[in-house]
Amino acid sequence: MEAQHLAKSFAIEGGLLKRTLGYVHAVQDVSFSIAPGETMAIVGGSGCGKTTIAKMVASLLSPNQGRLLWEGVPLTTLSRVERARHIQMIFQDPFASLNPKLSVGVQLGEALRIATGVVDVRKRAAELLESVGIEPDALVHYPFQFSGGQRQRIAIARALAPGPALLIADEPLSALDVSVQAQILDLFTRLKKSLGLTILFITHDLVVASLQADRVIVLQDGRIVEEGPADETLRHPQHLYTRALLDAVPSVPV
Amino acid sequence: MLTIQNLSVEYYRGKQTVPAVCDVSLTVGDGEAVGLVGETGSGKSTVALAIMRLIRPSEGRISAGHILFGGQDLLALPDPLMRNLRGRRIAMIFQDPFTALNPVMRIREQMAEVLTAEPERDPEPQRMRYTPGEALSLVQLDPSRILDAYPHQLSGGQRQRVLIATAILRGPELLLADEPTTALDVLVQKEILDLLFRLQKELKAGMLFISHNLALVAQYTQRVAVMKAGAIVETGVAAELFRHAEHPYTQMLLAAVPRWRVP
Repeated sequence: MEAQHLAKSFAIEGGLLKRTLGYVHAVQDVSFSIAPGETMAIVGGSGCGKTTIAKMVASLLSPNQGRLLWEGVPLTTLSRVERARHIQMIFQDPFASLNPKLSVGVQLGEALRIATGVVDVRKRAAELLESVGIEPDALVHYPFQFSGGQRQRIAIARALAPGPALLIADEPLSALDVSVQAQILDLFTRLKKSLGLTILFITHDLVVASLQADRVIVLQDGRIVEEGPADETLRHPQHLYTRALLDAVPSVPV
Repeated sequence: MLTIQNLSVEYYRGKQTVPAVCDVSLTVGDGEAVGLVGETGSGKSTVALAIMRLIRPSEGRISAGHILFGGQDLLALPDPLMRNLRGRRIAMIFQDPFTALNPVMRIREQMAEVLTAEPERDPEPQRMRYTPGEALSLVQLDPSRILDAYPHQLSGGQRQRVLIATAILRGPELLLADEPTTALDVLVQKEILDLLFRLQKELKAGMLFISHNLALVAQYTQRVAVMKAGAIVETGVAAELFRHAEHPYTQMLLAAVPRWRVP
């Protein structure tokens, strides 16, 4: 996966006629690449453009400039279904990302229709749930019957259903308790190992990012201000903004 | 200043009742900041709601205990007198600044409501009070820009500052902060909490700070109570808890905080 000179701006509209008053430059000239099996974290405060990047990679937004390459081929040349097979995304709020009116089984079944080579949908759905630590009898239940952590696991199972190579996780922890966060982080580590997943991890918590990722990109006002191996960035943050992000994370004295 | 004795709260579910808080005792001294930590559903928000007597009669009830504040039992106080206390001597800052503000009222009007809600009869001497402009300046917002704005025109951090400004309007003696920064990113979280606890010290107000993050609570409070399934399982000095947490639940909460070593 490669991003070349991505840029995205949003129009500010105002007045009675919805004229364009100006532009917000959410992402400006951002380039990066993710190697297969690698976990890369994009870190920054609210409004730095990290979610905009995630949405562009997931083809939920189209960039104004630049392009995204999947195995050397522009993403735009792939069909929607092909893109969905390669790239899946999970969101911040598991209370909002699952459909409250459909049972877990139906939602997984829908996602499995994109996948290739699935013979027994029910069996595969149960396997998916098991891989994220949810009992298969959850298939007949509805999202409201689960806790926040369980819902996020189900959302992960649904994202894994089409068998993606790249999983985008946009602040997957911020709606969860600290104790549940630790369990979900463990799950990511396990899935990465067992499935060889490539993960794009979006977060405002530099410590979590560094523990989870191989490489870290720090984003400020839509631009990359620091980039490097996770461990290195955590130990020797170069940019002032990176240091501020690090200082702000509450931690246990070791 | 605040003494909670053997507080129990239960919620109704159909014909049954579900205990939410069981036999909780807790004190907050004058000007002291106390942390209340626990996971979702542990009952920590219910404790705050009980102090404010904001548990809806249709949803649940306080089944036992006393909440002593300034020498009187809040649970025995007639409604009009309790209304006098709320927002005036005890103020609460809620979790979600996106829903705690009225979306169709200007900030000026929302803040003025707190000041105009005059008590029916006021046995208390008039305490210090700020104008909305003064309070906004105290939380480092520009009153000329904020007063006439609607909530949707403000960022999450600005909204939380407005809530803090509203809470301190009457110079309260006790502040209840229920997860005031969970909807915000780490940078804004630090700014807001630094500000909140600085104001708490300046006002010499007591503070009950509720959060699921033990590391965060320990950074800002001297004493911490850990809550699980409606009961307090461990109380201690924040720094001590880190060194030797006794209860397995506290140890688990500690283990959940990502650890890293500063070079």
